[in-house]
Amino acid sequence: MTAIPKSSGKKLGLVIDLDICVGCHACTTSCKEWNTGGYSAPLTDTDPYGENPTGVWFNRVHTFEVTAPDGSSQTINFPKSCLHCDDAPCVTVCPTGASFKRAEDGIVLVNQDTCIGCKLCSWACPYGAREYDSTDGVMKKCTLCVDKIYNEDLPEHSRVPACVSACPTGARSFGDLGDRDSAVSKLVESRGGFDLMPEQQCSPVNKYLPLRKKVVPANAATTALRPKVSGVADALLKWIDKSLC
Amino acid sequence: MVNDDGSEKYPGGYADYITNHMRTAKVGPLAGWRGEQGDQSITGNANPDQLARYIDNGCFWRQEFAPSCRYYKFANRDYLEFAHEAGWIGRTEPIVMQLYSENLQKFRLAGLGHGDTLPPVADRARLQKYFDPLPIWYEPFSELDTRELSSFPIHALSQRPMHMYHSWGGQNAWLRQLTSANRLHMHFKLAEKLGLKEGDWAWITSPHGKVKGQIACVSGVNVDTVWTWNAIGKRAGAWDLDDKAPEARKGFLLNHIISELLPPREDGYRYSNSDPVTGQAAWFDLRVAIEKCAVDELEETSPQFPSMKRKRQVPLPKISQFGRDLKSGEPVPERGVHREFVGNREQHEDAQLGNFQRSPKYNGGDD
Amino acid sequence: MNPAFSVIFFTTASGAGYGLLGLLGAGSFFSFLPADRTLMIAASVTALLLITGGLLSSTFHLGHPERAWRAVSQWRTSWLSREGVSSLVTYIPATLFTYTWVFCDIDNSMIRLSGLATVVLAVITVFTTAMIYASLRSIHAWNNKWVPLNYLLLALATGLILLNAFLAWFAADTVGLTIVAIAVLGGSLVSKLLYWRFIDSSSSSSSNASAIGTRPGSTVKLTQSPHSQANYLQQEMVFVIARKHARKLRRIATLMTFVIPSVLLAATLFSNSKLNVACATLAVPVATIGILIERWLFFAEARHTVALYYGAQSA
Repeated sequence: MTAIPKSSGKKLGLVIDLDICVGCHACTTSCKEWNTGGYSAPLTDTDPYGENPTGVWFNRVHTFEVTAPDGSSQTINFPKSCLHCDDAPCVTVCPTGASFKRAEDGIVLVNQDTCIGCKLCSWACPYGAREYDSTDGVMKKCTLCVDKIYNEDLPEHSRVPACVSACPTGARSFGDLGDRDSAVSKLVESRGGFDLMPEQQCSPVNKYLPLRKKVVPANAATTALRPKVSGVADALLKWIDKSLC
Repeated sequence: MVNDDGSEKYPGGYADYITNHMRTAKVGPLAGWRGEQGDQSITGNANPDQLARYIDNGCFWRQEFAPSCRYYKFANRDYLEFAHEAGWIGRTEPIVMQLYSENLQKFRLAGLGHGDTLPPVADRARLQKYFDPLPIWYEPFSELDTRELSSFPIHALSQRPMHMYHSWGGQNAWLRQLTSANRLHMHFKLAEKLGLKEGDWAWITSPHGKVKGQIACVSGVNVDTVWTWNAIGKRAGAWDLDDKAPEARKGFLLNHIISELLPPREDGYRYSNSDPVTGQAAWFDLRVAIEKCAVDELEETSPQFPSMKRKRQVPLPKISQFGRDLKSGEPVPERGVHREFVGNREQHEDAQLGNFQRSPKYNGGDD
Repeated sequence: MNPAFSVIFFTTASGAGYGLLGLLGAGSFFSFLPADRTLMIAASVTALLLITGGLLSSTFHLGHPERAWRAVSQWRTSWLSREGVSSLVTYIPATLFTYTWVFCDIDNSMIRLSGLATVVLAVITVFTTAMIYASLRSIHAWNNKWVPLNYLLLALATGLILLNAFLAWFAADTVGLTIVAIAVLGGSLVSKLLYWRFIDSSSSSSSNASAIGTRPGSTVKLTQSPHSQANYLQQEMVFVIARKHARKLRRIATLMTFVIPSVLLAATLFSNSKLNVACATLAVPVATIGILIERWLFFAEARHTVALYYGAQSA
C-alpha cells in the first residue's frame, strides 16, 4: 500500500559524518557489489565499455567546495543514498502500491514484480534517491541492505548495510534513529546532526553530521617553522634568518 | 620463468605460478592453506588445492596477530621472531630507524676521495652534495635553471583517485563510470590570469612536451599549483574500451610531459629525472606552462596514437547485468550461504587469547 | 525535466478530448448546442479517440505497460492512480452519452444525464492530470496553483477550438461559441503569462545550501560529479534549456496556441461560410502545434531539486 503506514517507532537509517568522509567511493562500490546480487538485483550497467557508460547505483559521492562569505573555502565529500523518509513522497505518489514503507522498521522498498516503471516516484523524490533500470523497466533503490541487516547467515557484526561495512574511515553509522537512546541518536544529538532540505517536508530518517569547526591558532603561520630559542641566541638567529632571506 | 633445460617452469600459467612458486623454502605468493594437506599457514609447501580453498572463502584468508605482536613491531621480540619465521624479514634483530645513515656517509666519503673504490670524478660533486647522512631538502633539479622557471612557472601534480585503489582497473565497468575523464584542477585566480574558465581546453607544456586537457576551477589548491587525476587517460582501444571512450578522448596523462631525463646541461649531459639517492622518479618536480587552446582546435586530448583495439570473437556487451543470476528466490546450495568478506571489523576472541590458530569461524572448510 | 514525448502527447490529446467531450455533455445538458445527431456523434467519437489515443500513448512511457492495470489501485494517495480511475470511470457516461446519441431519441433524458456526468468527470480527470504535476514539491515550476488552472483552461480552450471546427463543418451557428472560445483563449493566455511570470520571479525554497546543509550565504560549487557521464537522474531530471531559447519558444507557443487561433476564430465572425470553415479548421492544427510547444516548455523549464546536487545554483 502506498499510504505511509503507522510507524512502529523503529526507524532504521544512516548517520553520515561529513567531517570524516574522504570521498573514496568505497561505500558506493561496495553498495553496488552487494545489491547487484541482492533484493533489487541486478544493478544494470549500460554501454559499460563504450563511449557513454552509465548504470544503476544506489549510493553516490559528490564533492563540493563551499566558500563562506569571508572567502574561506572547504571541501565537502558528500555521499548520498535513500534517506528512508518518514513522509516519503515517492511512496504516496506510486499508483500501483509497488513502492512501500515498512511499518516495522521504516525501510522504503520497491516491489519489482508490481512496479510499472512510470518513474513518477523518481520525480517526487527531491533527493534523487531513486534509480530507474531501463533494461528491467522498473524502479530500483537503496534497500538499506534489507537482505543483509537481518541476515542470520552473517555474523552479527556484519549485519549492517554494505556501505557501513566498507567505509574505511568510519564516516557512516547505522542504527535505530527512532530510539532516542540508540548510539546513532546520541551521535546526532551530540554533533548537531541535520536533515537535508527540511523545507521539502519529507522528514528524512538519515542524518548528516556537519563539518567540525576548524581551530586555527591566530599566530600559526608565523610560528610554525621557527626554531624555539630565546634571549641573545634568539636575536642572533633572527638576524641570520633575516639576512639569509 | 624456465627450468635449467629451458622448459617452461609453470606451464599452467599464472594459476600454476601463484600456487607452486616458492621464493624461498616454504614461502610462496599466497599464505593461506599451505602444505600438501592445506593445513599449514604462512609457511609450508605448495598445496595443489590452494586456489580452490581461496575461492571457497571469497578470495580471503586471514590470521590475526597475537596481541603481543601488535605494537612497536620494529622492536617487538614476539613479532620479529614471528615475521622471521614467516620469511618476511631476514633477521630477528630490532629494526632501528637511523636518522644518521652511515651508508649514505660512506657514499659521500667516496665522493670526497676516500676509500679504495672511487666514483668517476664528474659525479663526485653530486655525491658530496646529495648523499648527506642526515635528511636534507634540496631544490628540485628542474628548478635550478632560472630560465626554465620563468617559462614554466606552474607546479603540476597528479594523484590516483581513491577508488582506483579499491581496484586498479579502468576497464572495470563500475569504476570507469565514476571517473572516465579527468580535468586539470586550478585555482580560480590562476584560471582568471590565464583567461581560462571551467571546461576550457588548454595546452599543458613542460620542457619535455605538451598535452591537451580540460580545465576545472577550484579554490582548494595553491594558486601556483595545478593537479589532475592520474591513471584515467588511456590510449584509444586500450583495455578493449571503445575508441570513443572518454578515457581516450578526454582523459589525459601528465606522463606525456614528464621526461625520464632532465634537460641537457651546458656540457650536453643529461641526468636522470629522479632523486639521486633513491632513484624515485621525480613526478612531483614537474613544472608547466598553461595556455588556452585556440577556438578552432579539436576538443579532444592530444597526443593521440593509433587505436590498439583488436577484433573480438565475442563482442563486448552493450548491457551488463552482473548479478542477475545471484538474485535468489531459492538458496543455491553450491554457492553457500551469504557471506561478507569486506570490512569485517570483528574482535577475534581467539586472537585476543594470543593464540595463533585460525578462527574456526573463518576456516573455509568448516562452513 | 526532460520532456517525455509520450506524456506531452497524452496531456495534449486527452486534454483536448476531455475539453470537447465536456463541452458536448454540457451543450446537451444546457441545450446550447444544435441537436444535430451526426454532429454530436462525430464530435463525441473524435473526443473519445483523442482520449483513448492519449491514454495509450501514456502507457508507452511505462517500463511495464502490461502491468498498467495495477495503477488504479492506489487512488487514496496517488494522483496518478486517481487520474487512472477517473479516466476509466469517465468512459461509462461518455460511452452512454455517445450511445444514446446514436440509438435513442434526441430528447431522451439519458442524453442530458449522461452529458452532465461526462462534464463532471471530464473536469475531474483533467484536474487529476494536473495534480500529478502540481503535487510534486520537488519541482517548483509544477508545485503551484497555476498548473491545475492552466490545464483546465487549456483543455477547455482546445475543446472549444475543436467544437468550433465541428460546428463550422456542419454549418451550424457558431457565433456565440466563437465569442466564448476567444474569451477562454484570452483567459488562458493571461493564466499562462501569469504562470510564466511566477516561475521567472520565484524559485524553490530549497537551495544548494539546504541540499547539503551548509549555512545560507555560502557559495556551493560541485567540484567532482559522482560520475563522469550523466546518470539516470541527470538524464531524466536535470534538463537545461537556454533562457534565450526558452523565450523564443514561449513567443511561438503564445502566438500559435492563443493569438493566431483567436484571430482565426474572430475572422469567422465576419466571413462567409467557406472562409469560415477554412479559418475554424486551420485553428485546430495551429493550436495543436502551439500547445505541444507549451507542454514541451512545461517540462523543459521545470527544474528539479536533484539538480542542486549536480551543480545547479537554484531549483
